[in-house]
Amino acid sequence: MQKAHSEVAGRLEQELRRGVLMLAVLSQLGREQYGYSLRQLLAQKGMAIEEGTLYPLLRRMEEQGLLQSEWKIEDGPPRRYYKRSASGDRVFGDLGESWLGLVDTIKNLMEAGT
Amino acid sequence: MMKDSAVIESYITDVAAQLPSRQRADVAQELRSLLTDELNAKPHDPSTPDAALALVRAFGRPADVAARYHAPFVLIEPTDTRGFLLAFVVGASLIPGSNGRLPISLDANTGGILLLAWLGALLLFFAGRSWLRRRSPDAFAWKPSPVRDRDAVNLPLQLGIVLLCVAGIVFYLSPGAPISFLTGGRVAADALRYTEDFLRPWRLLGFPILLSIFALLNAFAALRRRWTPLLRGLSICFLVSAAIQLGWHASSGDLFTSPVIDRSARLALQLLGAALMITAAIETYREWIRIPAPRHPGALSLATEK
Repeated sequence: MQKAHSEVAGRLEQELRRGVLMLAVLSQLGREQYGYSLRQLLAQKGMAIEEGTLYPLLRRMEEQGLLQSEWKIEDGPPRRYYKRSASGDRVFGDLGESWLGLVDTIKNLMEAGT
Repeated sequence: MMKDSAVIESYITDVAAQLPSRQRADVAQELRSLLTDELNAKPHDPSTPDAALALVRAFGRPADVAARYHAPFVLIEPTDTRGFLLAFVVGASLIPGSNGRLPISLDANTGGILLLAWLGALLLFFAGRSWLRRRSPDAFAWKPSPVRDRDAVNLPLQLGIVLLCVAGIVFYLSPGAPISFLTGGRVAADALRYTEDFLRPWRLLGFPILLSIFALLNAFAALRRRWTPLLRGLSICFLVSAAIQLGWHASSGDLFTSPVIDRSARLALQLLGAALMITAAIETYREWIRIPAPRHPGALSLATEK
C-alpha cells in the first residue's frame, strides 16, 4: 500500500515537473548552452531532467521559434548551442508571470484546504 | 564485441531511420554529440559496451525517441482503433460462408479476398478521415444530437410488432393459403408445400416459438409502458436465436417440394437471418455504450433553462 502510494506520488510529481520543463529551460537559456551543459546546469539547480526528454524538447522549442541554435566548436567536439530567441524572451516573460500567479493561487488553495 | 561508438552509432541509425528526411542528418549529428558527452561524463569500463548500452536504453526506444523529435504519421488515430476493430468484425461476420447449400455463398478463396478487400477499404476510409480531421479540425468539431429515451415504449410500433409476429407465425406455419390469397390465386396453395423433412416438429416449430416469445416480450413492454434491461437483453437473445435458426433452415435440407420456390425461400431466409444478425449487433452495441439515466430529476438543472 505504502509502495503504491509512493509510486502514485512519484508519477504525479513527474507530471508536475513536465508541465514546467519548458519554463525551466527558457530560464537557463538567456546565455547559450549545449544540451549536456544545460542538463548539468538544471540538475545543479535542482531540476534534474532525463536526457531523452530534454534533448528532443530543445528541438521542438526551436521549431516553435522559442530558441535559436548554432553549431560551434569550443574546447571539444562540435556541439549545437541553444539560446533564447527574441520570441522566446517574450514567451519567457509571459510564462514566468503566469507561473508566479499560479504558484500564488495554489499556495492560497493549499492554505485554505489544510 | 561492439565498441561504445558502434553501439551509439547503431542507436542513432535506428532513431534517424524513423525521422523525416529533412531532420534526419541534423538530429543524428546532434544525438551523436549529446550521447558522446553523456557517455564521457560517466565513469565506465571502455572494454565493454555495457555503459553505452545502458545509456541508450535509458534514452528510450528508437521509435519513442524519434516520436519525441517529430510527431509520427499515423494511419489510424488511437481514438479510432475501437471503431475500426468493431467495423472490421461486423463487416467480416457478414461475409457469406462457403456452405454450398446457402443461396448466397462464396468459396473460401473469394471469401478471403473479400475479407482483405473489406480490411483495405476500412483502412482507406479511416486513414482518409484522420487526414481530413488533421487538415480541417473545425469541420469535424463535435455536434450535439438528440438523445432518445431508449426505454420509452412506442405503443403503435410495439403493437405493430406483435401483429407482425402473429401474421409471421400464421404465414410460416401455412404459407400456401396466404400467398394464394395475396396473388389472387395465380400461385396455387399446393405449390407451397413443405417437404416431409421440414415438417418434422423440431425443424418447423423452432422459429414460430421464437416469434411467439418475441411477440410476448413486445406485448409485455407495451403493457408496462417501459423497456427494462432484462427485456432488452431477452430481445437481443431472440434476434440472435432467430438469425441462427433461419441460417440453419437456409443452409440445410429442402424446405419446399418445388425446387424454384425452395431456392427463393432459402434466399429470403438467408437475407432475413443476416438482417436480424445486423440488428442484434446494433442493439448489443447500443446496450454496451448505454449510460444510466440521471438518478435524480434535477441532476441536470441548468439555470438558463428554468
